[in-house]
Amino acid sequence: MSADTSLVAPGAEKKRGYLALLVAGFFTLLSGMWVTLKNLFRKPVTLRYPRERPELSTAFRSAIDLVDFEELGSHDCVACMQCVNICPSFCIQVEGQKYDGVKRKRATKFLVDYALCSVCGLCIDVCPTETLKYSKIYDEVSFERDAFVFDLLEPFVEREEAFLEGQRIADAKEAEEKKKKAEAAKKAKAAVAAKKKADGGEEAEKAEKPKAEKPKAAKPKAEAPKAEAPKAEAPRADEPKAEAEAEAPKAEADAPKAEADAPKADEPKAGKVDKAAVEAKPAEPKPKAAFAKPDSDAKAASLARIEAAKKRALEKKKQAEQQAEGEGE
Amino acid sequence: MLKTLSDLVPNVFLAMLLAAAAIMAFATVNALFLVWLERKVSARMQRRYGPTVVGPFGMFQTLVDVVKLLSKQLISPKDIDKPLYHLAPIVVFVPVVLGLSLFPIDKSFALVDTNVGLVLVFAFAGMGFIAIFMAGWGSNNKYALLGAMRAVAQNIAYEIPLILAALAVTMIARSMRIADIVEAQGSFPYILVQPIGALIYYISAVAETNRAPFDIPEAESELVAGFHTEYSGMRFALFFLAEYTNMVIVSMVATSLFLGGYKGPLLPGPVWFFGKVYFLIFVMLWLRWTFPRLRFDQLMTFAWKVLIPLALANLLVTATVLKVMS
Amino acid sequence: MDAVHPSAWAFVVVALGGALLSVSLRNILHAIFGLALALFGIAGLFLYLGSPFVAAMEVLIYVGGISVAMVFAVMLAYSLGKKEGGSTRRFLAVVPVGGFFGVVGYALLRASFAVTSKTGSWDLKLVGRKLLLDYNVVFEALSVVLLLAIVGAIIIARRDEKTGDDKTADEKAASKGNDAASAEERAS
Repeated sequence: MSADTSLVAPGAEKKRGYLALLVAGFFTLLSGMWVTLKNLFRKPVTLRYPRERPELSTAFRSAIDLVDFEELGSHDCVACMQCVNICPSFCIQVEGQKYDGVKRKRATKFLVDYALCSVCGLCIDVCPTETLKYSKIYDEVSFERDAFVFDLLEPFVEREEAFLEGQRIADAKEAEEKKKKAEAAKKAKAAVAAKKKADGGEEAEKAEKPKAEKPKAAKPKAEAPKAEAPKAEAPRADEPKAEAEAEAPKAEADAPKAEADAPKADEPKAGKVDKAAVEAKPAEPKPKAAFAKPDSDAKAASLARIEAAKKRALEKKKQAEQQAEGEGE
Repeated sequence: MLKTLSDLVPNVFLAMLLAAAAIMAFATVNALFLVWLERKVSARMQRRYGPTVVGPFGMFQTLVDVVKLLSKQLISPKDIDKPLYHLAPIVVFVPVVLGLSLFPIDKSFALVDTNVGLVLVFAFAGMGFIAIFMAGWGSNNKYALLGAMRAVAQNIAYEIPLILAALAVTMIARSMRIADIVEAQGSFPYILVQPIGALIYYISAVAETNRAPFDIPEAESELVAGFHTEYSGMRFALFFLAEYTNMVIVSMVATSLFLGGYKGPLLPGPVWFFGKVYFLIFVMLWLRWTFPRLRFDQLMTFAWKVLIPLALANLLVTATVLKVMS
Repeated sequence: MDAVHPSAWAFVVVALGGALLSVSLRNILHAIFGLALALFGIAGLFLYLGSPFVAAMEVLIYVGGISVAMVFAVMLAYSLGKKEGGSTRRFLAVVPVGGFFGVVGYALLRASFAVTSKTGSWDLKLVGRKLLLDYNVVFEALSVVLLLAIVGAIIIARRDEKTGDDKTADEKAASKGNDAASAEERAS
């Protein structure tokens, strides 16, 4: 028989005796058995899936969902449409409504078509109130496309009335406080102006700027509307032309839109987003129109495209055939 | 005094009926249990759970599987060798059932007691080969035929060290009656006297049952399922039953020859006996889920160049020592 | 002769039936399995005659060993699945077979067997003593025959290695063919 049939490598056989090899081999077998024995008593790593679910990484991305803020008792979507506008897949549908006595707009419809979503996360980045997050859905299965159109407002519907009631009260309070503050600010400005006149010059202006910036820096954390009172002042101070007198009443009248834009302007990346938002305003009708079209229209369009492609292919074929015939003749 | 079934039940036919019923029941329940155990042990060694759903710890999983097997259509391939194909599952099962009856499970009881019990066990095991060959040939399938040829070649090769190792024990005990051999192991089991013999026996026994790492006749990656490739439903189940019962038989022989059978402190005999048997079976499972399959030439080399010379040397030394001491 | 127990007739039927199958079946593998059946019946007869040791040995060696070895031999020698046609001269076989059967039958009928004990079981020690003391020469002679057989088998198996070439004859032929083919290729 050739050396291949030996139990060990041909070189090793010469170095050690037959019996020594046998004994050594036996002990290697034992070490292998020790490994399996140890594993026999270790905890299984299997996840019994339908009954157990994995703990997903915080970086896990899936369909978007609305954040349920504890301090609000609800989500904080103000139907600003930025997510709708920025979405490259046109998979978000939002409608909003203004309620009496509530300062900000409120979403009345928030649909996401997960079948279209590419999980790019732009909507989450752009959301001014940070009320969008990734959900942890990972095993949604269906035979129907419609099953992947998620209604994100569904868990909030029951609580909506209570939320609005609470918000009305809070807003009323806030408005009052604002008024007071505005008055105080007016006074302060007047005092400063007086001082400026007295001191004369730009020095005072320089001194004032860092002051105004401080609340800004603190703000991103205190995004929740309740903390808005001091915030509301900051943007005002930020805008170059913002004269305190003109602003106070205006801000209240403008309510949601201005408010929604303002905080954004404060955020580090705000510049870009702001631009997008500004640009989006005129462009708004376009995506809306696209979305207004029911799904069937889109289907029809794609069908038409396919039909056209088929026709073209047929024509080409015919031409080729004719050519072939011509050559044959 | 050792009692057998014919002592307890005077009517011969009644005794035969009882024995058949008892053995069949034991073989079936044992196979159900072992299949479950195998799945469970393999799972835990691979850090999985194994069956968990049906019954406590999934214990009734195999019961459900048997119901499935029972309800399956029996498929017979085209151009089979009909008599051989249909006979094989029966022939493979009969000797296995016979072999089970020969072991004393307690100081006072064995189903059948004969003065050549040990030879009979090996004889019945030998009958299994021909059944495997019938299955492999009758199936008209190249995988089945190759598997059968490998199985038989392997079994013949490993039967020699198996019997040589057992022979050394019979030389010490001076009897082939299994009950005598157990009794001869006074206060210590023969594994202490015959450690190499015990090891050779156990390795050969694993090879005889065609189990991993010696499962070359059924090597899934090459031969689909080996000699029972073409069997389905209950016919397949009979092969399966025979395989698992064979494991029990070789373990019973090992227990009786090397581990002192039913002997042990405190606990009653049958508990010791079956405890040892199932421990040996557990080691078989353990081996299976630890070692990869041998190549066929390695298998043969191991049998002819390692085990048989070792067994012969062991026999020679044993005989010399016995002669000198007596 | 004493009355024979009916269960013994079952073994007789099995033995004769198996023997009949083994000579009548066309498929040589079936014939071998028939032979195994006959041997099994004979083992049963030994058991009936009160010698379980010989019965067990019969099963162990003949049913489990010899039959399987024969199957192997057939499979290695014949092309599988080919049905052999009957020879036209097979009736000539009647002459030697009948002659042999006559001689053995005559001898059996003339000989007188001393029935020692049908009921008592054979003592294994007695078998051992008889084999190794009384019939020592026969036993040793048989073992020499077996040794010769083993040596012969080894010589046949190693024949090709003597030439310093571990290929079998078939492999050599195949490689020669390959060489020739490659030579042709080069030539063309």
